Amino acid sequence: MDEERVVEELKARLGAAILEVKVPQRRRVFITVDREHYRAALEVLREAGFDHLVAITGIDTGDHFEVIAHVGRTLVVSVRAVVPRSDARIPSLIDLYKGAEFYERETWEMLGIVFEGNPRLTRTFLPENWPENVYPLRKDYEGG
Amino acid sequence: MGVYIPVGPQHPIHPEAILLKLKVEGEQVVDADVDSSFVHRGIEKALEHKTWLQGLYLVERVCGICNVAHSTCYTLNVENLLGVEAPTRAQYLRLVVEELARIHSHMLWLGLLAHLIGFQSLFMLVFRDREKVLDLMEELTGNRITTAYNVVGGVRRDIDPALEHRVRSTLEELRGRVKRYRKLIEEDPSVRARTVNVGILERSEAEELHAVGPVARASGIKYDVRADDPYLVHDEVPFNVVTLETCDAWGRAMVRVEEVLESIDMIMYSLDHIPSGPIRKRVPPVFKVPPGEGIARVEAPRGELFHYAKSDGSERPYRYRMRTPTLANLAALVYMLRRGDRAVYVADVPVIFGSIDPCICCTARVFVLDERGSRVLNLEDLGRSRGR
Repeated sequence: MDEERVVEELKARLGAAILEVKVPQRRRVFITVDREHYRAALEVLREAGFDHLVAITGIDTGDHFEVIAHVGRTLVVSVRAVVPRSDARIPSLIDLYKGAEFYERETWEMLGIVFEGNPRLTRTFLPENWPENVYPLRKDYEGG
Repeated sequence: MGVYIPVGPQHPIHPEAILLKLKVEGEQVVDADVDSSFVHRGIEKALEHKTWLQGLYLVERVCGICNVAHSTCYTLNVENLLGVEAPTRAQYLRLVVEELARIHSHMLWLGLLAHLIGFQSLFMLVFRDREKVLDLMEELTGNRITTAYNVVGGVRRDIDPALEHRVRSTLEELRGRVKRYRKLIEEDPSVRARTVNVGILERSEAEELHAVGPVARASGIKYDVRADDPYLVHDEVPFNVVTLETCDAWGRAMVRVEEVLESIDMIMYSLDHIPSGPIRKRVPPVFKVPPGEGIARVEAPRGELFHYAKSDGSERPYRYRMRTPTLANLAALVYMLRRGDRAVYVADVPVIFGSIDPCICCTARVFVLDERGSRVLNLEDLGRSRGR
């Protein structure tokens, strides 16, 4: 499947839910959806044969968070969902992509985004004496 | 009622700090947790405070063994955002160094496997041969391990005919040695006894858990970033993606040994076909990167390595994300240890653990709680419980 066909397929299935499409280079597609269509977009991709979850990235843009799921082997489609700061939650992908567990836990721990449906959102690799509700990859954390 | 055995964070089976917490019943492992949180260094956060150039040297220090993979991935990402492409000669040189790094990483792993199964003479022999690769690395890049060879826009040093000759003759000698090791792994009864049918990961399971690198390829998944998403001159240099369907630790050993031979061929071919020309495009030491984002992937010795970069137009990254191959394979490791349908013996744990070629300093990201969510003990807890 090439870049154009993936974009067409996603547009056909999700329509106006796709807020932005970028193809910055060959074999790379970035799409942006709202939080409600994040899972739907990944379900479409999963059905289309994108069975390899490469990673999940979390970003603090200052006024909101972004969660990006990167899927694919040859062609990598990055699905970005916008998550408001005041209500930092997003559905988990764990039933679609089993390997999502660790990436979601990491994003939760570093940015405080809750992945609803991930059963094991527990302290993983920050030190045990790390204070609660302090998320190091948020931009307002300056750290020492 | 099972017994919990903590293996690590300091344990002879692995020099890096990791805690394997095994629940055993008799000789069988019935549950397993991994805690690799001991060496987390906050590199992703630190990168946001460094310039793009400083970041290159920090990224290299994510992992000693995979430093070439990390710096390749980083420079590809930055070059892509800058709109700069390394000259072809530089891409060939990057490929040569990347494959040399793969050879020394796989040989290190083979030595460790020998050590884990108590085959000390093989360990010594493999490490002696690996030294030759490190000597080549030093001649080529100036350093044995942390090479600092890749720079934004190309590579730092060129190769001259005398060195090229030494690379060829050393690799030719190494090829013979590695073929001997391959025969040994194929035939030696003690190696086979310890690795065949140990650490089973079926193809469907490897796919489901998103395994990468030799772990995936030994389970029959033909996935190699070099072939699927070429990032250097991989479409000009022929190579085979080695796969096996044995789905066990023996298969992972064979895949890696075969890959060493493939890498030797790739280096030889690259040296034959390397074009002349410049080796880098000069980029100023402090530069601004246009706003944008991008991802880069390389096939590190342990599997697919992924970097994501976001720039806001300043001289520092806005966000830099790394996903290392060991993190991707940790799910498969835990699954292999606690799968219910086959007996997993305590004596096989080092081999299973070793078979994913774990790199904890790369990962330092995850531990896994068991299904029932019981508490994972740390070193302090263990000290306390001893005192009780």
